[in-house]
Amino acid sequence: MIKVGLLTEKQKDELVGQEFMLDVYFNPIQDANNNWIISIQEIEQCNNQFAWVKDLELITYEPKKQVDEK
Amino acid sequence: MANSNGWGDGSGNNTIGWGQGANNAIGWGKSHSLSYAGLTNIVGVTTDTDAQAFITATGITDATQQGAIDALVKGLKTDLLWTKMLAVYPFVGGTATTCKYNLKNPVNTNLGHRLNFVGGWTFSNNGVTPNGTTAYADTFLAPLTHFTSGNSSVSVYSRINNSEVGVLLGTRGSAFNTNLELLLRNSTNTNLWHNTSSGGIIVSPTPTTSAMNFISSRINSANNITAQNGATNSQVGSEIAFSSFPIYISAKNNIGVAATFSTRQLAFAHIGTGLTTAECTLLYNRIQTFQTTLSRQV
Repeated sequence: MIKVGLLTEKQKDELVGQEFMLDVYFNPIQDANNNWIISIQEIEQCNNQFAWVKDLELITYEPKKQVDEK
Repeated sequence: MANSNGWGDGSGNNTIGWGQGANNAIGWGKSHSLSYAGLTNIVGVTTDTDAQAFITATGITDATQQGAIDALVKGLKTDLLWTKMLAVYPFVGGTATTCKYNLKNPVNTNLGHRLNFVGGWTFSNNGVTPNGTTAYADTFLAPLTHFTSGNSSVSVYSRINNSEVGVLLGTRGSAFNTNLELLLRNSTNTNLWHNTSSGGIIVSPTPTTSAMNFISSRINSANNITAQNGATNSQVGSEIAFSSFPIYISAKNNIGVAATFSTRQLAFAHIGTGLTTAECTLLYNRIQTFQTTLSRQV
């Protein structure tokens, strides 16, 4: 079971496109319940500027269903 | 003089004259042009200038990694593959910084197709590992801008054998007939869309593992060449259109939004012009030699 960090909308906006470690950038996404989340790797590897993400509530990741016409 | 040869005496006092430079019979120690023993030049191994540019940009200092990069570039040039590469990602050095650079043009710009790593990644000497939920790498290279009809190729070197729907490399424009998508071993098949629409092709023969080097190439608009660890096949598959969105690695750029994330560790990827079946095999051989030098081959 994959755990992810739960974000508010405001927190998501703060993280989008920000560099959390050298040459790697945050990518908040929405889960199946439209929660904004970031991955454990982003939480664990982020620099001190974003230390607050280490206190995020962890929830079980439920991926969005992929709708992909081909 | 302590012995008959004079070894151990001062350089000026022995009969062989080692160390005397200009005053000994052989001329050791003289300048190269004046020494009788200097008829053969001793030439050091020269690093390829393109390899050196990449090594300098990445800051890689490990001698084995440097040698592997140099040999890869020289090999690609020997096989006349170098000019067919638009972007080459060797994923070497173990950090985001060393892994982001394009070997073909190692500049830190989007136009140079330096990768932009986004989301949860792990970097090691074995390559780059996406987390399967948020991670992808943007190549800033869109098929519509860089591909021409019947003349394109892509490849990945996956180190993980699993079954998943994660896309190893892909993009899709607003029309689904622009799909470029590489799937290895989902639950039933290996699917490939190379500038085409519904169905794409089901890769044959069916791969028995996803831990492999997989190349897809087009040298015409009617067929799709595939190579699994250098073993090639050509299947009917029409090319229709190109995506205007940049290719993502370890996910698909689905009309500007990353989707279908992969978990597979990658140790190489390329985007280029079309390769013949023979060239696919040559490319695999160079990639595999590179991986073997780095002790991470599958």
